[in-house]
Amino acid sequence: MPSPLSRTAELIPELEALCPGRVSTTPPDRAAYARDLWPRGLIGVAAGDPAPYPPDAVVWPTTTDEVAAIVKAAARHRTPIVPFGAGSGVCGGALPIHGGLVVDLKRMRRFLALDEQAGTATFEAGIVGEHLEHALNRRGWTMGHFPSSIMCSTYGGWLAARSAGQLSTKYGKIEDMVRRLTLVDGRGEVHELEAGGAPDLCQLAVGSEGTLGLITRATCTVARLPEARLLRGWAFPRVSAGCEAIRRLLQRGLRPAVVRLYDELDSLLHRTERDEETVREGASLEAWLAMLTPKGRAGVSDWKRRAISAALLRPDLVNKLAGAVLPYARQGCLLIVGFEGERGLAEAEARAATLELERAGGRDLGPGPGERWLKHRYAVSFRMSKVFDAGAFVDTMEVATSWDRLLELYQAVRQAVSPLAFIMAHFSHAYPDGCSIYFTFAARGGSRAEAERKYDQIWRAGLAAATKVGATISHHHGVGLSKAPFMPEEHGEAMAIYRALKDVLDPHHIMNPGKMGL
Amino acid sequence: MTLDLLEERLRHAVGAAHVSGEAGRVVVRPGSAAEIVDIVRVARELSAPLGVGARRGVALDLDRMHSVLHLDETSLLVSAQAGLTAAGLEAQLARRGLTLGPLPAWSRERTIGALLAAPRPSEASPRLGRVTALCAGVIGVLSDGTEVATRVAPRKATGPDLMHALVGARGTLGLITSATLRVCRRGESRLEAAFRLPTVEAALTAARALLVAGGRPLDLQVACAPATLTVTVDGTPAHAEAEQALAARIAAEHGGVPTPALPPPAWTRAPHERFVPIERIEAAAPTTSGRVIGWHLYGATCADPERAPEGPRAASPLLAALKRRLDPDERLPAWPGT
Repeated sequence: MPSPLSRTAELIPELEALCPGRVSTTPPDRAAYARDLWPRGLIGVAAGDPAPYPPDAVVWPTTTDEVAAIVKAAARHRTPIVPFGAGSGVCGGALPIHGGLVVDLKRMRRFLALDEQAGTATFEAGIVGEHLEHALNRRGWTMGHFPSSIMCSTYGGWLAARSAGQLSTKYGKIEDMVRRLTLVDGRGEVHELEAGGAPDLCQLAVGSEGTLGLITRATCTVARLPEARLLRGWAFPRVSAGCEAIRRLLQRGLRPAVVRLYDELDSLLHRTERDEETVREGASLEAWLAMLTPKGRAGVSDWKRRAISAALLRPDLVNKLAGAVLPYARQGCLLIVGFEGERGLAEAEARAATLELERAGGRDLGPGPGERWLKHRYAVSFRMSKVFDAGAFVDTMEVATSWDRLLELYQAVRQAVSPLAFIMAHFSHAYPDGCSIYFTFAARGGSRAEAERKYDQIWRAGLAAATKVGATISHHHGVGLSKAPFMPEEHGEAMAIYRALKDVLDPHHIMNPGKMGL
Repeated sequence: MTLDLLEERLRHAVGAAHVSGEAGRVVVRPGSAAEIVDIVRVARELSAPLGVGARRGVALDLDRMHSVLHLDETSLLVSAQAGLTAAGLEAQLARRGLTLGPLPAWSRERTIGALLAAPRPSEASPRLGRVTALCAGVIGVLSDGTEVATRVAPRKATGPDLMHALVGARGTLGLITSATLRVCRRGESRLEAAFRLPTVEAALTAARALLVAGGRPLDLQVACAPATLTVTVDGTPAHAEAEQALAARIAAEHGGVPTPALPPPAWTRAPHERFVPIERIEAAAPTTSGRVIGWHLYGATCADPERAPEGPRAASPLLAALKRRLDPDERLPAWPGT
């Protein structure tokens, strides 16, 4: 591990004075913040490179004033700052690629206010999602924000990367919920930004992934814990029929909390594995891959494991085979639809949805599939890092577009990625004007270099296909390092506005440098 | 800069028929976004100020830019030029059973460009949010002539939502030339119910409770004299009835009794209004001064004091800094009052 740069060495005593006992330059601490959950990094970890980008130092502030003072000191020394929540990002956004200072906000975790009349709650940014939700639940409220990373992501991280929860169709993405936030910019100036204003400066800060400053606290809308939750599974013969049914629901004004349509392959794996403990919602491919891991080997026949392992080296053949066989699979695609909230409203919406789904050709599968989904919804894929030990890698690509292009997007990305990886998808986060598609893909490389090359090739092919259709390259995982090369294409000339924001808020370009294509 | 030279250059850019010299300014009526780009470049070369309806330099008049560019009935998205009025757009949407959603009567003659650049608090609905929430993307021009088009997607996680440098910024950072808006189908059932409450405080508390309980009425208003809560719901028949039942239950819990719907309060016709976050609404203070005559609630916000000037709050330091960076020569209009 390289030793800290001299510029940081001068900064450390200043930080020690600002945050006594809460600054570290020890190798273990620096190693702990040297990576996030970007799957490309996990390929390296599996190959024996666990700490690719160690920061020079880590500091744990406890107040907004401390954060501002830290940034002012770092700005004087032109030292890079990387804001850090819980490190669950999957795009390399929290990697200190230029060294410098990691500012870990997890000690800023207070529950500051609940306004029951307005339906809003205020928290500090470093609180872990699950703790935030439990704190609200104890008082009869919910944020309605349930990313599968809820146990290993923070409130500030959600806001910084425009997170979406599993119930976003009802409660909104985090940028729909935020009412105001506190941003410490790259000069150490503190901004209180209000949402819904004109212009809405809050929306210019949300999603900036640490490139404009650090979010230290925020107020979001909250809802009363639902009186009723009604989940049902539906079978549709094809993806197109399922998408059409979702579009009709949303455009009739219904707001289901859960809408998840699995494509034929995802549905098949979902069903096959549904009674086993290894099943993971949205990660049923990972459940299969788990058979490759040492723990998963127990009880899995040797031929099955070898077959999967071999298949990942020839994904083109597997995808072709799946494409040929699946249209004849009897049960088609699985759709889970759920309503929740005040009982009268939820029941009325569920009744209206049932009529609409039957009219669209759906077959009612009863409450079972939905309940199984609910039970496993937090079984997140970070537990699957063992798959990487077996030489394989798995990742997800979440793109979104309007309804008129949605199936074109689905086909285009599948076609682009199929020769390179085993790929399947589900459709979630639906809106009246469009929907996101969540692709899961897996492949294997013989060596680390080969795996990384293949990994990059898959992303280039998938995102180029998405951009060509006119879709956005990310619905809720963010951009970070991995999608930075695609930002000029995503925003075109409008990048001038982002660069202007950067120059104004972070004139020394110390905030999370090298990210977001800036 | 001489106005004669400016006028001559603009005639060359958009055609003589669409340029006219007036005292201290040249009025120009572009017919397309490309022409606006040309006009901005001419203004830049000749160091002339410009803006929609500017009093000096180049005064853009977007009357000719009143076309619907694309209607996507599958995604319920419409792209329209900035000079089209809300009423003009509504007329075209109505033929397809679509609507922008509720807008106050006096907002209907505003153009799409004006609604998005300078939205007013009452241009909103609890169901659909502020009028700016209808905007899925804009095409615009920055002061250096750069044409920007934000990507249209239902939601994105690709950095700040850059559209907000133009939307709501009153033309200070750039000009909006066209926008893509979310529209909705006209609901099959529309129900309106009004409730008389013992006090304005009770009416406001009931209105907020309805929103917190998950009600998403199309429109929600509180009138002060007499204290009345008016709720408009729409959607599928079953859903509209359930929403109305919830409203009736919550009104009753706060002492409300059904009453025939009142004519809309005067403020829906007069644009004297002010934005107040919902948690800061205090019925008592303004009502004792006799100033507030009604409240228009949406998402979670808004109030409406009579005669309070609608003028925007002072520009924030961030907006001012962004202006210095994006429009260093101050060619575009300044934030009102600065």
